[in-house]
Amino acid sequence: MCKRTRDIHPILSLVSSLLLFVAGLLFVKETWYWAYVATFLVLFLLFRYEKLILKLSPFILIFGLVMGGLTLINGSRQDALYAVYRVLALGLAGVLSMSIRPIHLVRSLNQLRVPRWISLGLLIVIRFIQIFREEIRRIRQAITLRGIRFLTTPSLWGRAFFIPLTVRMLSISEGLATSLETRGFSTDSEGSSFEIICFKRRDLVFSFLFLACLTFYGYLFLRGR
Amino acid sequence: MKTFQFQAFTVKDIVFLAVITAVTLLAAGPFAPIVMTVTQIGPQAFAMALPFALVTSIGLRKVKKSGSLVIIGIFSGLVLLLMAPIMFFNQFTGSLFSESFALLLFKNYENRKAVLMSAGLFAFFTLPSTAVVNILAKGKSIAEQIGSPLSFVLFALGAIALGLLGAMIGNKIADELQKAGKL
Amino acid sequence: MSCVLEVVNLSLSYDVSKERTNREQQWIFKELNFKVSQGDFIMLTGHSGCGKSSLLNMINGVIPNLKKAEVEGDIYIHGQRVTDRSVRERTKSVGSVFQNPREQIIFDQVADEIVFPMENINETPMRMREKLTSLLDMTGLSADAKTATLSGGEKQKLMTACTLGMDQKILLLDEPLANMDARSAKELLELLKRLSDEENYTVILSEHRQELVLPYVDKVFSCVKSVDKNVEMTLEFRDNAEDYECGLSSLPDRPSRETAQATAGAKPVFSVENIDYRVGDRFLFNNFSWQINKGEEWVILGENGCGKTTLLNLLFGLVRPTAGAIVSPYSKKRNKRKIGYVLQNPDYQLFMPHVKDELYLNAKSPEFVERLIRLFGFEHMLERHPLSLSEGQKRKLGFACIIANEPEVLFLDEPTAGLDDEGMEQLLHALQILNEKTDNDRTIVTISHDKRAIPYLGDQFLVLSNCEPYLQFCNHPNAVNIQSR
Repeated sequence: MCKRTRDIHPILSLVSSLLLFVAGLLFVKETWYWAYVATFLVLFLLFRYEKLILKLSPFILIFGLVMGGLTLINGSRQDALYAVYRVLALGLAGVLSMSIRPIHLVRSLNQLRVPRWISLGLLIVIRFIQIFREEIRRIRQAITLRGIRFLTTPSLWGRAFFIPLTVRMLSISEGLATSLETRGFSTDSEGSSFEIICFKRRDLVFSFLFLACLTFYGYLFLRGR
Repeated sequence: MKTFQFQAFTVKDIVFLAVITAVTLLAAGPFAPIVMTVTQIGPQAFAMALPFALVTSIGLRKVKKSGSLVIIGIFSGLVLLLMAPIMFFNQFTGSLFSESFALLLFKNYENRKAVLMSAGLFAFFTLPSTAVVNILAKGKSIAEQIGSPLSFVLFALGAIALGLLGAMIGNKIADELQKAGKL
Repeated sequence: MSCVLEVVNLSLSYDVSKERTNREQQWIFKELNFKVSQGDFIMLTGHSGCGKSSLLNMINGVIPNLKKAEVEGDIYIHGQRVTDRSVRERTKSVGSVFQNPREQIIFDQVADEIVFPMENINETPMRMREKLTSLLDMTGLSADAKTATLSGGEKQKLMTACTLGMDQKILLLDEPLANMDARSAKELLELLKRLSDEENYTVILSEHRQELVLPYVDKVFSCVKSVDKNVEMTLEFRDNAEDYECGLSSLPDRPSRETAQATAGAKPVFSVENIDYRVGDRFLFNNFSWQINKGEEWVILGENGCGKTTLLNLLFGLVRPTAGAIVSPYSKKRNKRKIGYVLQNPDYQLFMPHVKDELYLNAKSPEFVERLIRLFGFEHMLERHPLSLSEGQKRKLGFACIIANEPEVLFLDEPTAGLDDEGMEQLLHALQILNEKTDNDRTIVTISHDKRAIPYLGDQFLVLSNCEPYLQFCNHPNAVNIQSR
């Protein structure tokens, strides 16, 4: 059964994101760069990406200012502006790629016959970044609790950080591997899929508008060369 | 015995390499925005070298199969694909070059030096792919990317030195845990 | 009832080193024989590290397929010999639920996690949908719920649902109640009992907290010390769980304490003044006040996720309240060293290359450390790497190396979880010695779910709850009962 969702097809999102990032970097020195950014922002708003845009905006703003500021130290004002533009290109591409739900990407990859161990690995990495962020917080707390300070005893601090971290990596991965095997996962079987991620009419409309906009700005870029 | 070892990866191997990748990305996380946007070639590899090498060397000591580093490269590349698509190529080719180089020299990971080379040079070997990607995506020539040759050489050598240092620390941790029967 | 599982002359040894030449091989179990019938609900019990998990792992094939060990004898499931079969093959008939569900969840939505094992065994989407609906009904979980926001008990239910989706009729649960509060544990046990009684599932559950599980099970298998010097454990079988008596071997009576402060008047060491603490939109503490005086021994009780550990972290200063203040002489950086904080998981606190280095790292007096070494039986393992110890030994070492610093204030987060009665006695004895050193003037705040230990860990109780009123203070001896209301 086809999954009914308002998200754009994950593979389409990924490819569009890639194109948008590359095009954004290529167009960075064009006078119409702001129009390019605005066009795609409008397109994203049409496809209801407003929440994600709002979520990413502070990061893009701060990071853009930092990058622009750093460039200004050694370069001209123009170079600083280009640095900000590059961050904007990253942000635009990020809106699409970060909208992808990992499970949808995984199921799409499975439909494309990508081995399941790759898609499972991807899921584990995404999920366990969060788990290990928490683990690192706990390890640092434990170091504080034993009264070890980096500034006074750096090598002891290093031990107190890396040994427990490695032990946690080993113990978590062993537990997870055992759990996966007892839940029937194996690297050599294909398995079935709970839902099929389909290419819908909405994806078609998005593809058409996206390519039309990109072609237009591509034309402007080539004409200016 | 010095032979190439191509063995199938078990679920346990895959899970451990995925966990190692998660920690690697977390360790390199603070540098990721710089890596994604700085146009000069070199600082990225320099910034990522130590954390990448330290964590991946522990991974290679645990999963001593040819292709382990490439799997780490694929996993980290796939995750970074969701943030900055270009990074996939950077990670994948970096791991491929580095692992190929180490295994051509040492055949397999039974030798600790192979782990040291493979993990230690990972960041350095992302330089060629970064250059190629910059040419294709940003239209920047090699000369433009290098900027000052001196700073490029310093960054590249720094990436090698920090990478090898990270891999040495990783190997030391792995030795201790092996003695404790944990690895 | 028909026999679904038969173990014949099963032996297990981790002593597989090549260095063993002149000595005899050490076995965890030797020539175990037992049968399990369809519909049996069995509790497997015994002290920490006695081999309960190993026995379950031999049945599901994790040993020797994923963990190296020497196994002899045979295992039959539904009359078929499975001894040489892989984990995946055994998975068709045996389902396993492990500890630490947080570390086994890979999807961000409940429904995706539940259908994952069904996808692995090639179920059709239609069948998966049917099973998903019934499993959600059975466990009370919501399909769209985010796995990251589930409580510990809900996560364990989720992992149980994953296993049930694979339709195996034999379930092995390895300490699924560890770190669960009484209410969550009861809910899970009721679910398992229903499966066993109404749907003929065979359930084998390993657990320390016998008093919690005993009312639900039909039979008890307990691991007891073997008389053979080359074999560590053997199994004792009780076909009627009602015959089984759980309890503590020889815990000392709690001594009546007369602290120096009792006569001199209370001297507050922590004054919690109208604090708020929020996690996202949720208030863990709202206008909360509390006072801990010098020499008091408090036990914090309450459900999982109600903020017990957060409260200790607030007292220590690891996290700051959103509003209000905690006034304490220990808030100053130089005084923080006078607080000892034993974490629930020793893996975070052990990092030195040898047991002795760990014990002496912050030790105040070598004499006290030596006493601790004797008390906990560390004499023969001083040169060992702390991480090579068993889980129970690691927990004791984690505790010992913190109290070796002779802290003025001691925070203990679930210190007895996973410890057998003997380990718990040693731990309580160590606390007693520590207290005697300062005329019972040491302040101790403990978090515990362990009903065996609670009466010995303190004489004042703080009961936290997720519901309003979220807080009760109590120094009544029956306060423990409030926890399971």
